[in-house]
Amino acid sequence: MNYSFFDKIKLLFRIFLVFFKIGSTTLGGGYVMFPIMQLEVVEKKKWLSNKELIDFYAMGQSLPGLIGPNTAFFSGYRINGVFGGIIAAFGIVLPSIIIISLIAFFMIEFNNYPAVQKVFYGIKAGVLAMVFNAVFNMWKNAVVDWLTLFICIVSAILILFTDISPFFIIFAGTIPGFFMRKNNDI
Amino acid sequence: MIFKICYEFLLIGMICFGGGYSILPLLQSTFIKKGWISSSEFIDMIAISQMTPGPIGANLATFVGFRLEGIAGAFLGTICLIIPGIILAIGMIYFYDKLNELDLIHKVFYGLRPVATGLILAAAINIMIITLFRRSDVFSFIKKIPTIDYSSLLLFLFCLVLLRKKVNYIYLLIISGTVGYFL
Repeated sequence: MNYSFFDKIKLLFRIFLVFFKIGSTTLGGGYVMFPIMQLEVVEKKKWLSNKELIDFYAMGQSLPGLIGPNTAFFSGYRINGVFGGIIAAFGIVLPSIIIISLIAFFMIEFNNYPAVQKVFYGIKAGVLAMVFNAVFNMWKNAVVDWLTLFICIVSAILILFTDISPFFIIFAGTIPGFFMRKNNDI
Repeated sequence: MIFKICYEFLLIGMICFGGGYSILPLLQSTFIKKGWISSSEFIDMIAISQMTPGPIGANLATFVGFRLEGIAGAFLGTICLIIPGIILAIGMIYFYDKLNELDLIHKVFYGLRPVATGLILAAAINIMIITLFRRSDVFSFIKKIPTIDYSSLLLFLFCLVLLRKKVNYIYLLIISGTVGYFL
């Protein structure tokens, strides 16, 4: 395909708009984002095949950072090279930056109302439940034998009771797999 | 300060595996332990990040960045958070054929998944100590076992049951907020 410069800018802008829309319409983060990406990028725009998007999502999960922008990068890359990827990843986080900045700006005064404090008193219990629920969900895939159970408990203890940086704990976590025999239900 | 924010978020972006909630323990140990943001404020941020559109990690990073350094902090924090992933993604595309990629990833993730789970478990315990026991961290909790906030405990258990029954996060936060208002 031979795009002129102007066409290229137009395509980048369209990529940006689509991923901006995805970022501003998904409530609840990464896992909710996938079906919406499917709808916008695969079904409506036909930029990628469904299989490609599934691959990109898996690749996005295996990289550090956020799954949404990582997947968006791979998708954008496939559509229009490195610039497409960067534009897509930027587009998907820009709504967050705008919306949260607005909320953070108003929250400072908002938080002084007793009614708001009461509501957030209840919400804190809800957040606690959400975080524990996330632990349960991850536990199912992560803790598969005694060694992984041990790794999980030790890393929790280290982060709670010592000042060791999570950087080192996470790095250490990449090592045990290499001493395992071949793919026993990893 | 602005460079410090960029640096910390680049670091977090490099080691934040597993998406969404895996950023919680990292933000906690980076920004809350140092006292830049209070634990209670952080829990409010999690709630709002969950209720607003966009990736939770990006929402939280924006929140923390804004709180520390205004709009510039919000912008740079979030962008720096996603940069390492994107750089590695570019590398992944170029080396895709050469690496026996799947096997390597399986091996790395065998230990990485339980670590990520353990770190989030620690974050959950931290939040529990603040919410149910009104103590600022584990150490003040151990020094003197405090009384439990029973109404929070009941609400927490109720919410956990709702979540296991697959109630949507948004409804959950609306319900818990409403109950909190009348407590």
